[in-house]
Amino acid sequence: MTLPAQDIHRDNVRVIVADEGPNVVLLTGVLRQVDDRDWLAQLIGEWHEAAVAAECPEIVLDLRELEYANSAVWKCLTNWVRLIHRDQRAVYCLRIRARAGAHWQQLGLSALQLVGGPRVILQ
Amino acid sequence: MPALHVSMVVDRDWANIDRIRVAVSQAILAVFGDLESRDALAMVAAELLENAIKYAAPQATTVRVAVYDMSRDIVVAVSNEVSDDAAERLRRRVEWVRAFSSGEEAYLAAICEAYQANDAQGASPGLGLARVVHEGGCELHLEAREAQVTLRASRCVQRSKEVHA
Repeated sequence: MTLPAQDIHRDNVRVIVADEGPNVVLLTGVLRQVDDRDWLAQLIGEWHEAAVAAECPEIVLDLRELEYANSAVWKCLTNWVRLIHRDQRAVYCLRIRARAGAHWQQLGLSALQLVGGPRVILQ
Repeated sequence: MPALHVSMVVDRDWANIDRIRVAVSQAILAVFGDLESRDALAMVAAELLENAIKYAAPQATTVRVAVYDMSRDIVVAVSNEVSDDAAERLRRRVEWVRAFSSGEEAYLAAICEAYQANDAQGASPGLGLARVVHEGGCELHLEAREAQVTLRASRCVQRSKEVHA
């Protein structure tokens, strides 16, 4: 385990990082960011540093219970992918679990994988 | 007669975005019974309202949101007061999105632009508008009258009764 356990309620969203098992970040509810420097960006920075410090091979981002995300959230995720690519210390991949019936997730993640290449794995 | 015509004037408050998203979602589902259009147009209303709240002129306190059907289209229209600079930026962004041959191309270009952006640049409305076109399946039309801009997103839908006929 490398990511610190977290259970954050903020507005209409909940962010959970379990305190045991693999590095899974679970997002549930409605996630809206004012811009790509909002609080999610700070959390991503913390997760990234923890993964780098532990030479973690993978972080799992579970979006299956995420009802909605605005475009600033997609920018945050795009920035995360850029951070993984640009930080030479980072060896981890981002595995993203999407909900099969959520058309919006499939479209957004397809585009994210385009810039992420092999460092983004869709599931 | 239109089957749907909802017009709302809402305070320029971030908390209203999700209320409007849910309201539009329920109205679309009630009238058209189309789950895909419900999700798409709820997202469209939220993204357009979000942009309007973010980029409205400082003195603007409200934003107008209308959802109505016209022929085979459902239209989401968001009107707000903007500065000349903001109106010009919006006009350029709408033209940028419309210049692509498909919504998918615009969306991918917006993601690539976000990926390549300098960290200090911050948010721009490009990805949200590209999402409206690609994910929302909409065409964008911008109308500016003095300090008031109206951005309309129209999506062609089949009425559920036609689909089921």
